[in-house]
Amino acid sequence: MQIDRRTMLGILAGSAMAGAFPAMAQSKEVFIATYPGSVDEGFKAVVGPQIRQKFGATSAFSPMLNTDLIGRIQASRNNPPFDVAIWDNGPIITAKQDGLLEKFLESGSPNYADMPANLRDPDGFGPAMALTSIGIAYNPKKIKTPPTSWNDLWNPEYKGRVGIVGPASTLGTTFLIEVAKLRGGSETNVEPGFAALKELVANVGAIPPNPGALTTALSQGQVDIAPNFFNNVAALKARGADIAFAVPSSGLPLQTVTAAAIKNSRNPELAQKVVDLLIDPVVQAQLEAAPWIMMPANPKVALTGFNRDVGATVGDVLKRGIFLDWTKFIASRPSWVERFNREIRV
Amino acid sequence: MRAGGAVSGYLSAAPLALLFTVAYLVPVVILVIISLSASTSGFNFTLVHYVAALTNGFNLGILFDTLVLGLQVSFATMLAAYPIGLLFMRCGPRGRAIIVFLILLPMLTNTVVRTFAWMIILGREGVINISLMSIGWIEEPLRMLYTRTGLIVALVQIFLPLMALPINASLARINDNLVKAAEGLGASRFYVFRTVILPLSLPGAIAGFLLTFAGSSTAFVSQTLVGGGRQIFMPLLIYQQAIGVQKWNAAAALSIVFAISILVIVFAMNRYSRKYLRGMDA
Repeated sequence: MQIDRRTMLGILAGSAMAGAFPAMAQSKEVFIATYPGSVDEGFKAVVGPQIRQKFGATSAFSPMLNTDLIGRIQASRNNPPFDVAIWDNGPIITAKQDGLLEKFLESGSPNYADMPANLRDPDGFGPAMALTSIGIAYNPKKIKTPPTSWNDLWNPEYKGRVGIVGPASTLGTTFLIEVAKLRGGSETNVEPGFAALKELVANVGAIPPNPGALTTALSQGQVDIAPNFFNNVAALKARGADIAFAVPSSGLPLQTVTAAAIKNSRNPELAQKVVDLLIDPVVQAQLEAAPWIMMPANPKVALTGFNRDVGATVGDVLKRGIFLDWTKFIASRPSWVERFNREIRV
Repeated sequence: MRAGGAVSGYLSAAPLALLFTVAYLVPVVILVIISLSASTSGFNFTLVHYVAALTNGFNLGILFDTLVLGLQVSFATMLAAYPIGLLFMRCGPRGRAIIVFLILLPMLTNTVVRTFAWMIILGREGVINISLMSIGWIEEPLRMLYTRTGLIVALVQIFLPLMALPINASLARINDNLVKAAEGLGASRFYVFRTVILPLSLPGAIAGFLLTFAGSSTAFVSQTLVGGGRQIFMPLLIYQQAIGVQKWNAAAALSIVFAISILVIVFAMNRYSRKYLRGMDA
């Protein structure tokens, strides 16, 4: 097929107009970095329409890993590609140190008053908008007695059935610290944790490279019991897999997902409003429902469905929860990763 | 026409050269700069990351093991590709078209998907274990997923097209009369293969070997998903440093060291093969 010049001009003009008009009609656009998977889908379905309705602005969501996000903001600090982002406990420390975040204007946030003290960023960069919890995932068809403690992974009956991941992931770091604590260690002394992991090797059937692959290993029967994120378990359970989640008796390790505005945003006011919107009880309740199953951070939101496996209310979850202080061990983590690589092998 | 040939040749290669400069060379230069900087905020020249990468015995062990994996996979792939090539040699145009189609068929599926398929085949409750258990050959499931053998088998299947196509091409160019002459003079089949077919097809085999070596030693997805977290190769080590613990400068230095190691092997093989081929001509 030959395209003559007139047709080509027509196509060009048409696409230019299609591109130009919405931009003229709605001058404001907010760019939000999310996490890959159901979080991104939930944000697109719930948060996007709310931003249009409440602020008359359009929104664009990009799912990516926090590390990737830090790289992209650093590459263009004066004109960052995002206005708002959500952050895990580890990477947000790097983002703060590198000066990538804008402080949260608490006075301008009607919903901030709802947030308990431990869900507010200690340096004033924003509220937690969601919680992720870590516990024991297991296959109830194969593991007949529901586990109650991390110590259950050492049960000789589970020889070859246990899965773990290394401390390069939040999951592996948390598991290592929790096990260390059970054996007299702490966030800064993981020596007993490594000793315990060496004993665990006899039971370990797989060390997948990351939590996602560990979840796959659980769903494919490669292993039957493993530390895992509640969200991963809930997602599999929702699809009908044989998987259950147990809260360890030593407490439920919690991570916060903090919403923060990015420094040098083109729409700083809108960015602040979006952060507030993310902790709005209405938005939070919609994200809490299936199929997103996010654990909300705002205690006003009631828990339903699978989230009730973790606690009856957000307050209840927080009461059972343990927050690790990432600032205490973020510097030692690289050496833990190397030590795990070196020592925990067959 | 002749005189302008070279110039217009360069000119027509310019767009691709520009794309390579922007999309490949520039990022590599940035990577080198990052690897030479103390931290990611601002540039402070240092060699500590290289010193760390090159003096850490454990990391060097991983580097060596990764290169060994690449060589193992390349040799195994070559062993798998030659029988296909010999069949290809004997086929007519129709048969050859079918063989090429069958070789290319798996390439229509994304590598990630093929890797997941291998996880399902090799897993504890995977196709092989379930089949062997149901016919009573084994009682306990075999450990195949997250083992080196399992990984090599998967990588051989994934990289087979890169090996088989160049080998086929060079086998197809062999003058059939040479084979017939050798056979007519009483050479055994194996002797013909060893003294006629193998040397003449070596250029294709070496091309395939280099492609497979470079591809399999850097195959992050397959190495991590089929190999697991207990067998650590360079790509996973770099990933852990960059994504896991945000030590980008260290990760960049490891990447450069890894890339140079692969390049050294590739260049060495290339040189050797050229020398060898020149020797054959003489």
